[in-house]
Amino acid sequence: MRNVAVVGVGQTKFGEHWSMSLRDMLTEAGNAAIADAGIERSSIESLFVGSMSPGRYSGQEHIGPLAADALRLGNIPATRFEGACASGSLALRTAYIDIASGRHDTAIVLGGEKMTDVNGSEAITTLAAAGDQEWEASIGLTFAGLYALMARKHMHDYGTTLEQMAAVSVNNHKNGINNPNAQFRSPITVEQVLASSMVADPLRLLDCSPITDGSAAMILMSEERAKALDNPVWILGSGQGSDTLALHDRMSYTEMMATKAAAKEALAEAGISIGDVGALEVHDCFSINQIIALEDLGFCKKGEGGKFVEDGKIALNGEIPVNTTGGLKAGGHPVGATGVRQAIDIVKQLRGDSVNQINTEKGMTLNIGGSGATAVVNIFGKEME
Amino acid sequence: MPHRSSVPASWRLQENRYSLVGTTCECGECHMPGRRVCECGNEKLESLEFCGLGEIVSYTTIHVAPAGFSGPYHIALIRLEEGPVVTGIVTGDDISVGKKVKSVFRRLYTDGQEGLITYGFKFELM
Ligand SMILES: [Zn+2]
Repeated sequence: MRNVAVVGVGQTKFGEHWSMSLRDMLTEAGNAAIADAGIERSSIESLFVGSMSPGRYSGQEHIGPLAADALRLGNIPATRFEGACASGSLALRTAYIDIASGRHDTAIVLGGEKMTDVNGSEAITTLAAAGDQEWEASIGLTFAGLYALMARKHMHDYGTTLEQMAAVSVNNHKNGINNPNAQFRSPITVEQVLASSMVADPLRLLDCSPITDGSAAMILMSEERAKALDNPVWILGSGQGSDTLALHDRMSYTEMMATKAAAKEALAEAGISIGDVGALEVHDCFSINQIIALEDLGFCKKGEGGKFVEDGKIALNGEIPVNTTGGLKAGGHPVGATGVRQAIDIVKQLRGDSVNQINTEKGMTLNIGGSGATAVVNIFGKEME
Repeated sequence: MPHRSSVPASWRLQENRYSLVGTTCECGECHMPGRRVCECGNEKLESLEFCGLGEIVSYTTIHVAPAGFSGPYHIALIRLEEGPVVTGIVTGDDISVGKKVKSVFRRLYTDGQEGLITYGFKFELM
């Protein structure tokens, strides 16, 4: 396998874009990544786009060629990848394998979701389809409800508190203030989280990531071609894991085996240990998930994630800065775009142009689909392996 | 939303939903919802009607409901006496982890005023 570099990144602002379609957003993000890389569009040889449900959100399937067409990329192979909220990272991982294998030298990765063309309850119904339609969604279990079941179990087994979960949202909102692409740029307090309206007990509105429109894009290149360009960031490893589709079939409701499998594969490929990771983007679709992620990745012991967050270990100046630009909570969560956006923010940290710059050599993204049925971990570094 | 309320989809799941019927394997495992392949690899599984008694492993109260539902209502992970864990709506107010429940046959979902009514199991606090 060959070394692969990220040589360009771009995104739309995340938020409500009533004036832009999915096509418009994919094009804006793609154009921005091509410009950032400083390459000709004719040099792009393959396209990978992640999107969870363009069919239900926009009535449009087949968005691989849609994106290639809109970006004027000609007749190159163009494919959509779907792994619920992990769709973006799946597209990125597959593009990485495409370049590493030697099949192509330059690829564009896109992620996008247009969620506000449908009403709120339809958006919630569509998200719930990431769970088991026949045995979870069909009885009225929402996506927030699935994570609420995990939160309640975590509280019951480990004494995790509502305040500790709220501290996740407080951290992520604080980090979003400086991010011009974030959906929300205002600080919040633990008290505000605890006073926000109930969504799925014990999760309240400010424990939940929002409904968002947005797209993110990145250009990957083989080592051979990337060496001629400025400031490449290298992909050091990638891993993917799966678990039962329905939460009720899992061995544990407070631990995600898909995350553990994905992290193990990615770390082994990168030849590093978790302690070498200096910047981390995790999937805070709901506050409890950031706590579970920190435990499953091994930054703290199972059951101690709440305290880890409450003690400030994930702050910008903490032991392991997490979601340094606001995460899904403040940054926004246009489902298929999220994994690519996470990777962009790690790449910016490594290039030295983050809005909240920290000093690190290696960064990791963890992107989770559904209630943990898909997990993708990608690892990036300033230097090649 | 064609999936939840379509007549064939509801009809297919009727037996499992109406009477809590899953599958059992000669290795001793049983599955609810039923499966076509056991964890041991066996594909020749028998039907099994679960007794309907169980215990709450975790629960939530849904306040912001999807289309076709109106909150608040309780949904729980329930460990059935035979072993498997299922997801179900729980009726009654004094819900907590560890409480015993039993399955009852109820209306699950109505697709508008004149649409299909889907019935199935819910759980009642004992
Ligand atoms: Zn068996």
